[in-house]
Parts: sequence; structure tokens; C-alpha cells
Amino acid sequence: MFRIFSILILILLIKFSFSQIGFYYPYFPYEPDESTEWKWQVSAFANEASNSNAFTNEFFNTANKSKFLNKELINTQIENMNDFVLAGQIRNIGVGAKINSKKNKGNKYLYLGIEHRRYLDIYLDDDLIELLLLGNKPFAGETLKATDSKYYSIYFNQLKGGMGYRFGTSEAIRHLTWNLALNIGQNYDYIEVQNSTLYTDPDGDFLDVTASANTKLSDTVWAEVYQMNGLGLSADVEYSYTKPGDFHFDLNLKNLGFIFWNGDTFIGEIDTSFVFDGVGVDTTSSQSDNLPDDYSYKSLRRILFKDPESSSFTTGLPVSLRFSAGKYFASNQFYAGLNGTYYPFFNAKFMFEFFATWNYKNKLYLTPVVLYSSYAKVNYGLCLGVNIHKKVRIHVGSGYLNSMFNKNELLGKGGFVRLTFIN
Amino acid sequence: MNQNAKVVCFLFLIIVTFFGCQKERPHPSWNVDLLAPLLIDTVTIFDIISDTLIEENPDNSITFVFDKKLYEVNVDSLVMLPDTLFSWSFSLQYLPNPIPLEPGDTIIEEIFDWPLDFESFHIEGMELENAVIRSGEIIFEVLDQSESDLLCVFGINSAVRYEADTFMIAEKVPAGQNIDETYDFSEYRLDLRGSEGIEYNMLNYYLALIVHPDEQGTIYLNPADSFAINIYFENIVIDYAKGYFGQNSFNFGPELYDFSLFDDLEISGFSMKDATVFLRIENNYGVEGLFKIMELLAINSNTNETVPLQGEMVDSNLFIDRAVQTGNGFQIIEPFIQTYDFSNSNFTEMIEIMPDKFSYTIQIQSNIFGDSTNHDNFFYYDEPIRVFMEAEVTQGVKIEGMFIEKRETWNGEGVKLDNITEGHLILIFKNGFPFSFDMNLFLENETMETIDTLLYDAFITGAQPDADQKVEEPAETRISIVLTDNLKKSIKEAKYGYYELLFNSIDDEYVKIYSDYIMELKINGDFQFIIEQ
Repeated sequence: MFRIFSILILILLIKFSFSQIGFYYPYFPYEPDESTEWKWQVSAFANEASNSNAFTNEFFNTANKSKFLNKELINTQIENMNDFVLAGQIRNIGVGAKINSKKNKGNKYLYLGIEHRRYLDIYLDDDLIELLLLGNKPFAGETLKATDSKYYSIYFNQLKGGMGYRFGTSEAIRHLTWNLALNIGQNYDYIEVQNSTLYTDPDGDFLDVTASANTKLSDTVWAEVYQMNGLGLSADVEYSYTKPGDFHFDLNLKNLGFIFWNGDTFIGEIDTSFVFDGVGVDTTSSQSDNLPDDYSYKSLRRILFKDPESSSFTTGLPVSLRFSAGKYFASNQFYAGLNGTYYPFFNAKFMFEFFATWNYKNKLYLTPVVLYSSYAKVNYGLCLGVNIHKKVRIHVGSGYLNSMFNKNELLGKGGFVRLTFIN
Repeated sequence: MNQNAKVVCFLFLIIVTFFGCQKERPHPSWNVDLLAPLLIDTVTIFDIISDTLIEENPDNSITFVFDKKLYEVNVDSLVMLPDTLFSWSFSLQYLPNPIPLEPGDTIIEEIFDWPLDFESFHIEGMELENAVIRSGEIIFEVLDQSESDLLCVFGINSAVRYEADTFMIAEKVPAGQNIDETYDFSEYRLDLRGSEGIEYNMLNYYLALIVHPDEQGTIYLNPADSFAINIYFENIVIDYAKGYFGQNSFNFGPELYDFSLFDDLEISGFSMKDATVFLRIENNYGVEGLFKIMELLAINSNTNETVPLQGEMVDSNLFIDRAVQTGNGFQIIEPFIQTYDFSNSNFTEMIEIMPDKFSYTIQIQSNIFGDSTNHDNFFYYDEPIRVFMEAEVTQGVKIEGMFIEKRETWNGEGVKLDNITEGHLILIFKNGFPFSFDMNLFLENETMETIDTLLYDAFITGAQPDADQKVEEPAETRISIVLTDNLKKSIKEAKYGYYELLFNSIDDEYVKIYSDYIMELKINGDFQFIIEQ
């Protein structure tokens, strides 16, 4: 029974969010009066987005704030569910500096930066979610199935260094930038449950279990952001083509690399079928061999995955391919376009963003955006850019203004902020 | 601070702020309704009744097997030594003149054989060659009717202990007085064949009367002086004896003998439909004879019920042959064992009163063939004649009020019950026995004091046998216990689980028992559990 319970609670450790806003500010990529006569630029940024096709904002917020999920909230949540639950979160925080070339100002620059990234990607069967949230008793006499459920979480820091090139003519400006990053991994959690079933006898006399699951953890404890449980390398490449006053296009490949995890790793696998009808009474030993001391993540994991390995392993990073394209109108007074991001290794694989920016005298940029993604829902919001004396740029915005303040809406919350100083 | 430095500081502040937003893994909590088995235990017939009492047959049926000692023949009654070894007196009345003697001079010194006088003690035909004394004493009386102190030395040359310790004593006898001393005589090995080694019942003695060395100067023995010496056995228990024990008839009893049908089991009533009964006599004596049961009475001293054994073999002579000494150190005796069929007796009636004692009166006639063994009769104190009852109950039994109790260690410290907000423990008894049970179940602390009562006088239904007298479907009893805060606390603190079970045959009928009968005890949890991460 406790192995079942372990599965249940282990999966409950999932949390939910998703984001799509990258380091690159896409809503007005070309500024007509942009100068190449700068010495350096320093930019700090943070963005986060959380999404789900099933969880509501209220449910997510309550869980994320470690509060109690009451029955009403759970029941409402379950009523909103589809055949599967998709949820995710992307969070990026960082600071970077561009240092202009003295000889070839504006056309060549050095980039240095430090960034923190977190990705969460979850796919759960509805049976599994209901089991997790309600317990097995409401399903006594039924067979619950979890045919394919995955939980993926990673966070790591990056020390980045790279070069940027600007070339072309005044009619067609091209940019090519590349970065190499030293990745310092903090945490990697992966759990996959496949073709697992649970049948509860109507009187609770036995549980018939088929369990197939595997897990890989970088460390058995939740690492702090300054800790190091793995090292790796990665590269970012970005190419853009801009025809001033006409259109812009760019392509960005990010996080093409890996991390080699060598902390207190945990690799486990279970593939078993059994009927559990109670723990045998053993008078010669402590009950603790059979009953968990507690129901913590660590304890349940130990029970569920027997004979785990603790060897180093390598994982790829959550690589993303992003494109952005837009058209300038009315002498650069308007810019409208489409941003798209593709995450080949995620369950929530894509996100599209339609936008239109109004440029007020190259000092103020106002951008309504409409989002559509793998979560199969439409979100919209507003972004704002401000140029102050060509020295300071402020970009803030959110694509979730329609949902993030409504607790009953499907989870969709997030936003970005970036401050840039130019000297 | 210049402008550039301010910018860098500002950005650094932002980074720190952002990084500070990195949260720990969320720890939400919520209630789930769980329904699951928790503990399971299985009770078989072998957990209830000692496997020394039951045997499993090829068809899985159970035979109750009773192999109980009914009584032992008292060895002291079979072979005894006469109380008096000898009485010896010595008078100087015919002495013409006083005789002067110096301190240390010997008045008399004798080494002589002297027989044990069995016949005076009405022990007929006893011809002992060897004996070992298990316990007992020798009483040594000396009377000195002279004017000088004497040293009286007495020994039994044919009584040796620890291979080299010959029985020898020396006592001062004051002038004109008598002494009465007692000496331990245990573990002495007696050679009763006399100094020539060809006699029976004969011990070899040493006796000396000596003027006590502490006397001052010359003393005189006068015609009026006399001496007397008496040697007695007291409380002698023989550990081993060999020889010819004679043709005798011994009557034993009536004597009471404690009896327990079910060791370590309390039971109010036990009856059986039918039984095969044998009386097994195990003769460890090197003596053949006739064994006659005059009376065997089953007694329940609580109810004062008595049932005498009745059957054709009661009051009949049963021949028992002699045992043989093997010379093997591990099994020095090969007993004669004879089994007599008492199945036609009223044994089942005797057992039905649940006797706690047996009273027996028996008669044994020894050596009915005379000295057929050529003086090779023997006995060992620890190996008497034993009488056993062997009974096999293959048919149904009726059990009434059989009580068993069991205490299991329990460690509840690791059981996380705090997270259960409300619910029940459901005790499920799947009883495959044709017995009903009354059950008490307690939780106890380390000093075995009850800290909580889970069940009291709970009735557990017995399974109903089918037409073939075999149970096919167990009877199920479910008992729900509310999981209160107090009970949760008790479960965590308990060190022992203690239960009492009172068995009764279902419908008060004879029931046949099979080894594959089990009672499954299961505890299911039906509760609301708060999940906290």
C-alpha cells in the first residue's frame, strides 16, 4: 500500500508553470535612431511564465504558496480537467553586459553575462491527478490508469561569454551573435510513470498495482541557487535580418548543450505488478522496515525505487528554437508581427505570440500581445517600452493580463521586466 | 560614486532581488480519502495448538495426539535397604583382672563381612550385588561403659565414593557416655559381594576401639566394662541397584498424580467423538513382572467429577518383560515397551471431565520367572516404570471455552498517524475455523499495562462446515474502530499488542479440523489523510 502511496505523493511534488519570454526583446527590435557610438550596455532582466491547460490560477497559487488545498478547490479543479494535465513554468533571471569594440564601434561587441534559468514541464494523466488529489477511496472498485505521465524540472546558472557582429548595409542590417556558457547545475528532477494501474478493492481489502516508473535526480535534496551539483557547456546562436522601416526577422537557438550531474544523484526504476493486502506482522523487527518513517519526498522515493543507483549522468539542456518576424508600418510608427518558440523536448512544445507595437517618437512603445500555445488557450496582454534620453531603456509587460488576475481562469501568469543602461 | 558605479550597483541590487525570489519546493497540503489494507496476519491451527498435540494427515485433516505420562512407579517401594546395618556389643565380664593399657593402645580391631538383614525387614529373596546410594545418612551410635575415653573407628570397606573415598569415621567416645552422630552417605557405591566377591547382601566393615591418645597415662579395662556399637541407615534412597530382587508383590496407590491434557492451554471443555487409545508401559527396570491396573480414576478437582477407567484390561495381569543394560553411556538402558489397546475403554468419557489429576492403584509382581536373569536385576532411580496414555483423535472434537492469549511486540513509533484527520480502522476476521471466538484486544506499554482497548468481548463468527464436515467458505466478521486522537496516541506509544481468544466449537457440535484452516486477521484503513510536503 505504501508503495502505491509513494507513487501518489511523489507525483504530487509537481508544480506548475510555463514561460515564453526570452532575453531578446522582440516587440520593436530595430530603433531608427539607434547609435553605434556606445561604450557599453548593461542590462538586467527577469521573466517568468506559468501555464496549464487544466489547473486554475487559484489552485496553482494556493499550491505554490504552500497553502492548504480545500475540498471545494480540489473538486472545482477536477471538474475543469481534461484527459490530461499539462503544466509548466519557465523563469529566467540575469544580468549581462555588452562592451563595444573600440575599432569597429557598433559592429562588433563582446558579451558577458550571468543568468539563472528554471524550466518545469509536466504531463499527467487525469486519473493520476484525481488519485493524487482525492485519494483512492472514491475510486474503489475501479481501475485507475496512468499510461503516460512525466515530471521534468531543471534549474541552473550560466556564465556566458560571446561575441556579436553587425554587418550588412544601411538598407539590410544583419546581426549574428553567439554565446558560450558554462552551466552550473543546481537541480534536475525527472520522473516518468508509464502504463501504471491501480485497482482498489471495494472494501479496501487489497490493492492491485501495476507500476512502471523511472526517475533521475541530480541530488536527493532541493539545491539552493548558489549550489553546484553539475557542470556543463552550452551555446546560443542568434541571427537577425532587418530591413529598416520595412521588416525584421530573427532566428535564435538557445541552450544547445548539456550538464554533467555529479552530486548525490539518484537513479531508480520500478517495473512491477503486485497485489498488496497488508504488511505482514513481523514481531521480530521494527515496523519501520515496512512503514515509512514519514511521507516526505525522500522517504517515499526510497520506498518506491528499490536499489537505486547513485552514479553521475549527463542530460541535455531544454533547448529552444525561437523565431521572430515583423513588419514596420507608417514610418516605423507601428510594428506588427509574430514570435514563435519551439521546445522540442517538452510536452508543451510551442508558443505563438501575435503582437502590434505603437511607437511614440521612439520614446514610448506600447504593444498589445495575443498568445497561443500548447496549453490550447488564448492569453493576451500589454507590453511597454520606454527610452529615457537614450541612456536608459525600460521594458515591462505581460501576456497574461486576461487571466492572471482571475482566480478561476486556467493558469496563465507571468511577465517580464528589463532595465538597460547605455553608456 | 560616479554614474557608472551607480548603474552597476543598481543592477546588482536587482539581481540579488530576483535571485531572492528563488523559492524552495512548494509544500502544499490537502486531504485525501484513503482506503487500503494496512496489516495482515494469519493464524493457523499450529498457532493455536502446540504442534506436539496435533499431527497433520495426508488429507490435511488434523489428528489430536495425546501422549501423556499417567504415572511412575515409586522406586523406593520396589527396592529398599534394611534400616539397621548391624548392632555390636562387647563385654569384659569374663576378664579375670583389669588390663592396663597406654594411650593409643588398641582394644579391639576387626575387619569382617556382615550381611544386610533383609528378611528381618520382610524383604524376601533380595540378593543385592551392587548399589549406589542417591541420598541418605548413616547414624553411628557408640556406648562406652569404661573409665577411659575411647577412639572408635568405623568403616565400610565396600562403600566407596568418588572412586577412592572409602567410608571411614572416627569419633571420640567419652568415658561412661554414649555418642550419636550422623554422617552423609550419599553417592557411595556399595559392593555387596563381600570380601571374597562371591556373596550377596554382604558388606565388609572395619571396626576398631582404641584408648584415646589424649588419655593421661595408663588406664585399666575392668570386667565391669562394656562397649556397644549400633549402625543405622536413615532416609536412604538408592540410585542404582543390581542383583536379584526376589519374587515380590508390590501394591502402589491409591496415589494422586497431576495431569494436564493441554500444556500451556486453558480450556473449559474438550470432548471427542471417538478416539484410539493405547496404554504404553515403559519398563526401565531389569525385572520382569506382571502389571495390574486395579483402578485408574480421572479426577477434575474443580468440579469434583470422577470417572474410573473401565475396560476389559482393567484388573487384568499385563506381562511386562525386563529392560536391558546396554553399557552405552548415552542410553544405559534399553527399556521394555509394551502398548496395550484401550480403545474399547471409556477413555473419551474420562477426558470429557477435563481431569487435572489421576488416581491410580496398581499391583506389580516381580521376577515371576524366578532368578531368570542370574542376578542381573537392576534399576536406576531416574528410570522407573512409566505408564503413558497414547490417544489419537481423528474424528471430530468439541472445544468449549478454550482460552489462548498472545502478546506481540509492537513498535508504533514509525507509524505516521498524525496525518490522519479522521477515519476508522476496520478489523476483518476471515475465520476458516469451525470455531467462534470471543476476542479482547489491548495495547500495552513497556510495563505491559493496558493503555488502550481496541476490542472487548468482540464476537467473531465461526465458519460453517459443509455436508462433508469440512469448511469451504470462511466466515467474515468486520469490526470498525473509530480512530480517535487517544487511539492514535496509544498506537504510537504501545510496546505490545495483547489479545485473548476464547474458542468454542460452532453450534456446540463435534467438528473436524484441517491443517489448511486459517483465520486471516486484517486491518484496513479507511480514513482522511492530510498530505503535507
